Amino acid sequence: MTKKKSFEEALKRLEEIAEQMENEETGLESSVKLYKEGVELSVYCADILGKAQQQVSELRESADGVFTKRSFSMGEE
Amino acid sequence: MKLYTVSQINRYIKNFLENDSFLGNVAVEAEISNFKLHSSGHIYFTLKDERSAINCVMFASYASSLKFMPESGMKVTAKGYISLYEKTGQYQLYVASMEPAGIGALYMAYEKLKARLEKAGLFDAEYKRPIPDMPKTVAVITSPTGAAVRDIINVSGRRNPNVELVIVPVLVQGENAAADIAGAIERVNRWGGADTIIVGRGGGSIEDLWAFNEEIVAKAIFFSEIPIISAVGHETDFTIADFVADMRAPTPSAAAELAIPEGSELGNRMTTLLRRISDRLTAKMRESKMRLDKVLSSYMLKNMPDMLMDNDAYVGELYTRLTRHITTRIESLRLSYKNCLDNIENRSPLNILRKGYSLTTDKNGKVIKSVKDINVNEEIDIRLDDGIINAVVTGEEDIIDKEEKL
Repeated sequence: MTKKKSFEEALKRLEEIAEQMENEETGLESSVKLYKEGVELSVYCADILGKAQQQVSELRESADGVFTKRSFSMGEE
Repeated sequence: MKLYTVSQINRYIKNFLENDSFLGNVAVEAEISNFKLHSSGHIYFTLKDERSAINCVMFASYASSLKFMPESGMKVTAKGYISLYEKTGQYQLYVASMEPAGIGALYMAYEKLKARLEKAGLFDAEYKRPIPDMPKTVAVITSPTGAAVRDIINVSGRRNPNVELVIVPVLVQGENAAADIAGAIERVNRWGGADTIIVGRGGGSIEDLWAFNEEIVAKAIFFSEIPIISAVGHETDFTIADFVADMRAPTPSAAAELAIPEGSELGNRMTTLLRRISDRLTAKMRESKMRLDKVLSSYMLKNMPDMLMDNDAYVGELYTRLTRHITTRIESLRLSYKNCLDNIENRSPLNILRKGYSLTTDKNGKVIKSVKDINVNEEIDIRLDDGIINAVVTGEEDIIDKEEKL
């Protein structure tokens, strides 16, 4: 993996790999390469699933239309 | 004087009531008490004021079109006719329609707007967008202080902490709520950072939920580029926002469940994919090996250890054998246990007595098996199934032909 993928991107790529490998045209050599990438992606995904921490933020828009996220805390009822 | 049966009297009164033009169509405003929803869908309740009460029934066919959930203590306007329940001789109001009292005007506005928007096509299925199955970010448009936001954060965190929540705080009731909610929907669309929007609030009265019945909110939902899940009030509350939204959730927690895929689901998906590519690789390698074998049927290749053997088939076979073995073992244990029980049952002497045979003992308790064991005038005990006969021997005879015994 060249750049850091999000979990979703990694899973999507894994889906692509499965499809490519199921294509009859794909040769053994590329299959081995794809497989290697797939295993790496799975490890990466499992890692993310294992240590994810929930992020909750609040959306803010400034007067000139710039969006920022700041941390959200529940107000009192 | 002619005598009548109760049924005839009740039938007469029923006809009398049902032929009365006033009682045939009445509207009553009163408070509900003793509300009961029967499993058949019929609802039973009493309408009362300070001084009087009347029993009411609303059959399931009518009750199913109620736009709110009636409950004891609620003020309502009920329309229907008065008739007699012949079985008990009680008259009651057969309710055909009912709405909360005092907010009839709101209801009319709701119905009018709903009909207009429906006609304009805002509820059409063809405009509903699918809810993304793998969102990265979910925007939540609701009050920052209510139970709704807390429920959504909790459910989402539990299901998949990997999905980011962006809260867009709005007023959810009061005069400015509708404009605020509509503005927030547009804002999230302009921002463009969310994959799904949840818009809603927790339960409340119809007035509390009213913002979600306003046209400005309906239109903002309709024109949103981002798929929207509505979650307004409780399961029984249907707002216009619910009809326009791409998906309606019965409660805010349910909205979070619909919007956020479970982490374990994703994990399973990943495992399935991994298995798919592993299988594919194995198959590819096997194919290649077969092709190689064909071309070069060399000694080396033929005798190469079969690294590519299908482990799954082997494990599957082992598993089947193991289960078969265990099942057989349990079955044979069960059988021998049953045989054992049968034997104990059959061999018990008491079981024989039950069939009419008896056991004779002398006064020392010794079993008498032959006439030679006993003398005339000796006392004996004859044990039957249900008791003992104390007897004295008055005579004895040998059986000449042993077969006669039978």
